[in-house]
Amino acid sequence: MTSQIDATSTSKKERFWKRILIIDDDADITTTFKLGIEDANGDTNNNRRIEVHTYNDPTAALSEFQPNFFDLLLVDINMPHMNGFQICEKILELDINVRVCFMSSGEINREALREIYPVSLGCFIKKPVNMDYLIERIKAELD
Amino acid sequence: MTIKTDQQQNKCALCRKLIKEQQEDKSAIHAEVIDGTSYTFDKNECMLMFKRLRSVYGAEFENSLVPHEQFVSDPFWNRAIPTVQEIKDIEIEKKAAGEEERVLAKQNTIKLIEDPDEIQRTAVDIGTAAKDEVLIIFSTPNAFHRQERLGGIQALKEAVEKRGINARILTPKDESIENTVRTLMQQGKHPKIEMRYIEPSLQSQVTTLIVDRKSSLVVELKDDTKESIYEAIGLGIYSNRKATVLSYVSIFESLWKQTELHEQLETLYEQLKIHDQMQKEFINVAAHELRTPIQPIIGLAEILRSKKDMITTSRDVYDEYLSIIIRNARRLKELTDNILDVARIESQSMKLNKQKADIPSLILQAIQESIENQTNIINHNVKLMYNPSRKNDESNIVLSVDKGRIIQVITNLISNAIAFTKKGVISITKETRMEEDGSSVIVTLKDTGSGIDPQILPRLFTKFTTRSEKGTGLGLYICKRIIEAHGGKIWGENNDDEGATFGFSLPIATIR
Repeated sequence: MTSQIDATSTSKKERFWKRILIIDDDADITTTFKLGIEDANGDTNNNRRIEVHTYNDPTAALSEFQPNFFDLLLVDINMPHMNGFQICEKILELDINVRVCFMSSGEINREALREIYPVSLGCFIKKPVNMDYLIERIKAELD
Repeated sequence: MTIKTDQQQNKCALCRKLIKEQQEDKSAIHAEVIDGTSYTFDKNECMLMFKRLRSVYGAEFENSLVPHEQFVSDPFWNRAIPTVQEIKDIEIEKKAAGEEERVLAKQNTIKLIEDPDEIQRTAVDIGTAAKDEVLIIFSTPNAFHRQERLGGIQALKEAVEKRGINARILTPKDESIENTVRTLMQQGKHPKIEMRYIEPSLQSQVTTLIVDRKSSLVVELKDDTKESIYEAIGLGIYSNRKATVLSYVSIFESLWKQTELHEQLETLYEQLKIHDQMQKEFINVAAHELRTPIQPIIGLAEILRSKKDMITTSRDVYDEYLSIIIRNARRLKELTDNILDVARIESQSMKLNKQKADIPSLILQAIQESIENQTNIINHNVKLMYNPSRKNDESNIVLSVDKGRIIQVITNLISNAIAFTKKGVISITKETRMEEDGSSVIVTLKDTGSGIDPQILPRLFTKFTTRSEKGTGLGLYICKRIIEAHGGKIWGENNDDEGATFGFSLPIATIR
């Protein structure tokens, strides 16, 4: 379920409006989100196409991360080995411009979350989420 | 206490008596010639003198004496009691002490003691006379420490060890008491000193000593901040009257009992806290595990609905989406079943629906179910081996079991083995074993996976115990309860080489 990133081709980047990176340890969820978001490209005009890359292993996502390539990081909070906050911190060190959306299906209280992670909590998505809402939320974040 | 004030003569700075150093043991003996008579004193008498001086001049005496013995000795000397008088006093004191002993020995006596020194002496006297039991309630942690410094605790420990008496101490605690108690417990060969901590709110203003349920000494606390017992304590009341002593005994016993209850309550409270924490963790894990499979189901169903027209054109995509949906729906079903099972077990409403069945066919059904659900078997990463074994094997015997439940156990063990054996072999065997309490059918699953984490090994079958990335820690708990409900046993251990072996037994006699 891991996508290879072809960062060498800059011309390819121009074919898409934005690129997002989804990191979630559940492969069925990354598949669903990738399908949902990329399918929605067909509904909008081609100028606003979104390309989705997915990783199920946060460590691999980090080691293969390419700076200045992604516009948005959609990252699950509860993951083994490295949680969403940890990976987000490391990715922001590599690329300060990437925006971040956290997501979780756990019992997470936003207030408590604000205390743990005070930065970039503008975007938080509770799973399970409606595909329409997810796409809307992502586009709002990318605009 | 002593200092050389003169090149020729050694004089005690305190009593100004001559000091003759004994070569053999280096202990000082004071000597003086008064009116042509030579007196000698041992250190203890000088100590008495010291106490007397301090009782007159207070802390100032002690503080200034130590660094400046020479300087202070003259003015103090001039104001102190003359030696001759002091010797007389000592004689009187000794006599008084003798009378005191007689008073203590008298039956039905109550005595009010004002002198702190005498109070301490009385405590030591009745304590050392103990034949059977010493009970002490300390007023404050400092009262305990003062007695510890005076050697009272050590003396009690020795009495307990040498004379075999029982001692129980109640004291409000602080950190250093806990250390003392720990050392007392470690050193003691005869653990006859028992200590319990009084809740701070029950702390009193008196220290109570009860010996053999025959005599008591109650000492008032005057100033707990003082280090010296002479300044810290007030009046003491000695009694050997039955009514008084037994009343103190019952106060002691009720406090002792209450402290025990308090300790039990604290333990229970700790357990409750752990349980509460586990429940919270379970809710977190369950919420995560229940919501995660919902996402692909909702998401892909929505995608499929939006693609209604295209379905016919890409049959493969359609199948892939559906199989993801079905897989996640199954995950949800399994989890809800587990949660409901735990609820049934805890409310003791899990009923076994026993039917006749033979173990080999149950194993085969379980394998069949596992193959349907586990992609790793289909992908040939994990090899599942089972030999239904020879004919006339007694383990093929027909038992009366809840077929569904036993299949559930085997499937659960297979699915665990697969989860921890990403690539390797799982072999299932069965046999009959004769044991003292009857024969049983044993089913074992041996895998070549990562084995059981030693950290969770002791609580493997306890609820919420999991090392799996996707696990609620309910599976093995449910398995254990199912097997136990059938009168059998379940176990799990690491193999010597690699992986783990899980097994369970079902007794033949009791089930048949």
